[in-house]
Amino acid sequence: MKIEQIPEELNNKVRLSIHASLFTGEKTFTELKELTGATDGNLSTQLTKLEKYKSISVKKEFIGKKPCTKYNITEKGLANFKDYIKLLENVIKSSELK
Amino acid sequence: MNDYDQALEDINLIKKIIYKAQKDFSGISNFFLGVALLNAFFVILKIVSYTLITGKGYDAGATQALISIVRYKNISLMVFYVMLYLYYRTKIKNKMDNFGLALVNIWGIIFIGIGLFALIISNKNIDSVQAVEFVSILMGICITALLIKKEWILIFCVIISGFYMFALTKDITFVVAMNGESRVLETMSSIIVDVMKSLGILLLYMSVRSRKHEDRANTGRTK
Repeated sequence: MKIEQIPEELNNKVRLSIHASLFTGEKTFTELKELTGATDGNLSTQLTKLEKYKSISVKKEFIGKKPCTKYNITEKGLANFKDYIKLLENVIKSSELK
Repeated sequence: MNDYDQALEDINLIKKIIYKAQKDFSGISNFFLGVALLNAFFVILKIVSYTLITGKGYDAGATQALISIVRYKNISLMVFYVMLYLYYRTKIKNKMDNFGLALVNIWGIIFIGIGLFALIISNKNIDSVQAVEFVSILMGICITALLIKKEWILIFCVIISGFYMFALTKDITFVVAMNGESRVLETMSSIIVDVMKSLGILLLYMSVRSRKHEDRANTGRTK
């Protein structure tokens, strides 16, 4: 992967932040909002896009009577995220060697 | 912005978010739940076997079956501890949760160490096995309480240590089963160790869970 070939899923700060958050485990919408610092609307839009790309999976549950939506990273999302981290490391290493 | 600056910015963003997200204690709390349930299961088996001894006698099939299971408790617990440790260690490692990994390693060493010690010593010196179990678990609970900032658990540790010391010095025993002339005795210290291994660890599970929920609640308030 080259830096100009970053997949659409990671080509946005909020989407990248969502990947990093879910990398550490399942999160609720509120937790993602806190971690990414995104607004409700923007977060919701990016989550829908990531769901379409099949990078994340969504689980709807009830805690007592309150609905609770939980998000998880998929195998595809995890692989893309790991590849992207490798790419970033390579870019930094090669720039520092120059 | 050139590639280097963009890469640096993205790496810093990822690091910052992973660091913030590591407040999640769900992995380690489930490990505690597993250990507590496992120990509670053997305590229940022991209670049922005492009831059967009193009700049906030593020679009844069910009594003998349960006594055999309880007899192999040490080896079964050891196998389960190793399995639980390896499962949660891999799970937490994959999440890059260094805090959770440190905790699961501490508890892995404690439980596997206790298991090995119990297997080596076996029935030769039950008192020393119990003392090692008690001290190791107590230390583990204290370290965990400090790490998760639940200092009140230390009070529980002081109280239970007081009971344990009292039970050891006074050598208090209870009749737990009776069959004709024969009686089965259990020391108060061994009952305290059983309580620590099941209810104490369950308390730790609930504390770690509540810590997670407090973090969520704080998150809500700051927004």
